Amino acid sequence: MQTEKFYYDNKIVRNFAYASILFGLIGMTVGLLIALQLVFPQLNFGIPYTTYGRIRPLHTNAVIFAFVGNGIFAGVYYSLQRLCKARMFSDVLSKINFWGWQIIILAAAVSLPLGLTTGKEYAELEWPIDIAITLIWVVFGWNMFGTILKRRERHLYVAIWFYIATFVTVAVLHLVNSFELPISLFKSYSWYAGVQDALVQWWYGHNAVAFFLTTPYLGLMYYFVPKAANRPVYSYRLSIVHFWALIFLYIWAGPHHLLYTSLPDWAQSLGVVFSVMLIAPSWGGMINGLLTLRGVWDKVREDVILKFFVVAITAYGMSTFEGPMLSLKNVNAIAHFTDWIVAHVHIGALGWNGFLTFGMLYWIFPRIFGKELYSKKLANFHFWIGTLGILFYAIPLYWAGITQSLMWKEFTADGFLKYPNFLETVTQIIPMYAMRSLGGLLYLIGVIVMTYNLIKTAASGKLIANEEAEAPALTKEVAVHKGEHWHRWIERRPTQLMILSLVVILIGGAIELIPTFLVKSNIPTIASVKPYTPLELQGRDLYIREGCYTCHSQMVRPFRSETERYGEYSKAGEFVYDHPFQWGSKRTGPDLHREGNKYPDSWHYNHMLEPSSMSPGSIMPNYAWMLDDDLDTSTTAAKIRAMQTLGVPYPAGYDQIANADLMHQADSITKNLADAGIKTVSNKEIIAMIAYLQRLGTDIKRDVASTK
Amino acid sequence: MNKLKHMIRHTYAKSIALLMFFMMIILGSYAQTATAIDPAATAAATATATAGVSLWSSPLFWVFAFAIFGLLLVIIAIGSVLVGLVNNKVAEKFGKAAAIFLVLFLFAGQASQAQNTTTVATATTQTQAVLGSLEPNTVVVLSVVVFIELFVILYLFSILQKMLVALGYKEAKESKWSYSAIYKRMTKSVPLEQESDVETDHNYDGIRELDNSLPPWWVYMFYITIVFGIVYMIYFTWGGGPDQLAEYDNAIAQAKLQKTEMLKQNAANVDEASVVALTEAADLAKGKSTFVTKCAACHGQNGEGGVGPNMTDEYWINGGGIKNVFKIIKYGKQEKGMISWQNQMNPTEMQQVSSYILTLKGTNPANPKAPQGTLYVEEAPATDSTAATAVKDTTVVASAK
Repeated sequence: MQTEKFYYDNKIVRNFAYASILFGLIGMTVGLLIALQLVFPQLNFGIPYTTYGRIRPLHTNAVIFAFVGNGIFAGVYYSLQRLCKARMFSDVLSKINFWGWQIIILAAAVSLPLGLTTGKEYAELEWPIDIAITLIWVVFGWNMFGTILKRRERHLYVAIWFYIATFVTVAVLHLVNSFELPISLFKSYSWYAGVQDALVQWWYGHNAVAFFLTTPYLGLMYYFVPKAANRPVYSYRLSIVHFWALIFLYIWAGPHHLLYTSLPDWAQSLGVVFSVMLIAPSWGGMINGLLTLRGVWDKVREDVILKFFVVAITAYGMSTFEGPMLSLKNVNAIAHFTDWIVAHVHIGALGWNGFLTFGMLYWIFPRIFGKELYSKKLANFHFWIGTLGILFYAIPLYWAGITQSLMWKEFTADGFLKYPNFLETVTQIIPMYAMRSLGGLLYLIGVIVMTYNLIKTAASGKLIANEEAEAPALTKEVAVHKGEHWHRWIERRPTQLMILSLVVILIGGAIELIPTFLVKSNIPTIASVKPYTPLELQGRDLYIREGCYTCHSQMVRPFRSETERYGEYSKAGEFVYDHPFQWGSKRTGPDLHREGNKYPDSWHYNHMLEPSSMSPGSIMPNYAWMLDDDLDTSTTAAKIRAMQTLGVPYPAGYDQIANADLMHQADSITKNLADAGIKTVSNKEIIAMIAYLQRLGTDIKRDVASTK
Repeated sequence: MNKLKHMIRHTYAKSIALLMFFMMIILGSYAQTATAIDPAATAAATATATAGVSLWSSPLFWVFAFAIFGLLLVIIAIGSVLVGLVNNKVAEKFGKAAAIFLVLFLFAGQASQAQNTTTVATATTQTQAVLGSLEPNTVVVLSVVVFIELFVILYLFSILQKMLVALGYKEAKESKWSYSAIYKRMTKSVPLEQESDVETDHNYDGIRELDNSLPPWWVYMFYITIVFGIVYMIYFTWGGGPDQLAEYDNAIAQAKLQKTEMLKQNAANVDEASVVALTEAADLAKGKSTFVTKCAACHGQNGEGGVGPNMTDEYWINGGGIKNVFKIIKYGKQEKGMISWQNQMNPTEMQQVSSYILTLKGTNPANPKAPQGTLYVEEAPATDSTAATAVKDTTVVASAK
């Protein structure tokens, strides 16, 4: 057999690794800042660009797409070449992938603080960036597939199955969820409305966890764990079963983010049962990871990389058990909207993604720089302070979540809410928020130490940009072993593998999404629900711009404790004009769906200026600039037209007179404020904001109220 | 084997004594149960008056009682045998600690027994649903007791087996149900030494793959979750399982029931027709604390007004006097931004805070808000001319602003 000589591209791996570290540091620092803002609201600094609502999306996008995203690319580019015994398909594509991704991240880092957002969690980036993501993702897939096709290894290893599933599914998710109608370069509306938008969004959101934070990382685990342990993978059969089961079942589980909402019951039930069925396939990965360490547990004690891996896999096992439990409706009724969920995702993020990335980086650096790790002691320090950080982060938040939930639900003997003032339940858990920040700080210190350690390692060695390797070329004829496992067939056929995984992941999504769109009975209409007025529409866009949904839900669930606190529970028909939906996923502040007419206009005015003036002890940031800034009414016509395109029944030609209506309504609010002794003018942003807040959830009351 | 028989015979007398002792404990706790039920039942008055009777008259209860008692006897019997073995200097062979542990364990078993029985008593007084004339809670508790007993018996039995083997009364035999046997069966993991048997010829960049069987515990877990999924889906989609709105209606209905019950018992069930101003210092103090926490945000810490009107002047938008103030607090006035408080305060609290508000009149706090509404004079006749002029004044004040 003729062996061929070729070179692995290590430079691209290094670049992605550096980017992952850099954005990890930034993303986590922003995380620490927003954690501290909950304890010290002054840290919002009173300017728009640093308020919680705008930089919380910055934190999530940075750690998911920049830290983990670059981590994925680093790991995939390193392992794929070696598993295929081939250099990456094209250095040019590699470079486009790298620089394109970093430009996307920079665009996100600039646009999110500016308030340019779609208002859909984990998909906040506006449409031009969405298109860029699509293009770069295609480049990545092209490069990966090109490499696979020119491989020198007959069969595809399990890690590559996961990479392929990741590629196709993320593409599908991103395309479907980013369907939006642009009205300008930086503003678009989600194509879907209300319940449908919510379902699509959480189908996406949940599977972003599944196919961006889980499957690629399982692939990385399958490469780096057996490598670092120098042990064979425990069970090939288990790999097959858990891979297919995982990607098939995962896609269905999205509705578990929408339990007890206005989503139809059947869709909720699907979310519950598929989440529960996910326990075993998820644990398949954990078992294969941990049991691969059989026989080398003594090594785990000394080898810091294995330590990171063991904690990562354990965290994976814990959160994939906790997830299904949280999907049970009775548990979800307690945990949803609380910090329990935040704790849960951080077990996954800090433990699974973080620690696996760190272990991987400690493994890769010495190899591509041809030098031992600069300091094992520092790496060990990183491990311990990181682990401590996770504990300090998660435990207080579990505590906070459960405490607050119980307070929300507690009734007195008289049948009243024990804590009718939402703020009381927040004040109660602020010490827990402080502890959580400490946990985050410890974790961040660990990452800083790692950065130092890795830089020192890189500086002491020299990058082996092109690492020499040899392997025989693949022959044309395939020697099929007698009695080989049937799955070997597809392992030789990457295209079929990709198509099959595409089919497998499309089934669940199609069955859930299509009926919700086509069957009318899923979203019963309510006659009194009318489109937003132009001023309210503008106000709604301000609500989206400021990221209010990061702390306020707009979904009163059908629980006695919620209808008592907020009013009538939310109904599917109330959201039909909501592009995008704003149900939210966390209540750091109270639900706002029935906020309309609860307080006078002047209350809102004062509250936005300085929340603590109306609610002493409030941790909400000040929004003083809304009182000073003029509302941009030049967009009104375009917005009305866009809404008409999306099916919102404004009369034909309404876009031309919309601004007149807008000013009319604004004047009446200004007058209300004047009556209460507040002097302002009608063209300020605050007026639109008040209009929107006062409209929220009032349509269904109009049946009873006088008809206009 | 003879030796064992001898030993059991030897401890027989002791067993009987122990048995008598425990029977007394059990009977005693049941007696307590019975007395515990009666006062509780009278307290709950109507619904559960017959709880005590229904417990004793339920055949299912007696089935459980006999099962629990019978199993207890088994525990005591095995326990006595073990105690006998321990006393017989077996301890030396096992080590003192083990013997003490065994004895402690036995008593711990009995103690938990007694505790569970009392739980039965408290549980019975609570619910009304009947399951074979027993309440579901009771059935659950009784079943748990039975399961604990069965578990204890299994555990004691395994200890006994081990002791007998250790003492040479019995030959050692790997049981099908020993921990290591179950572990093997549930993991089907090929031992490290025989790993090469399951190694595949796969080699990816030096990564090899074994082909261990799917762990049976994992497979079973997968099956169970699938069965759960199917049953859940069928029950909640087609099988008449309650949907979330049914759950909600149920919760609201229950709360209503509870609330009317509460109101009936609440002597101070005042409404806007019957309310009178309170003057007791304690009531006013309570009213003040309510005011500070609930009203001050809009009406000012000292009632000087803010977003809401001034409470210290003589002008009222919706009328002054205890009845009007109580009414506006209770029902609110949405178009003015005053929210309804009847879902957050009980009638007494609303009465207290209304009374407190009336005391604010003429306190002249700092930064008072200009008067709004009309001058209100208590019991003023409609023809009073001063009231009429006052109305005029306020109109001027309001429009001037």
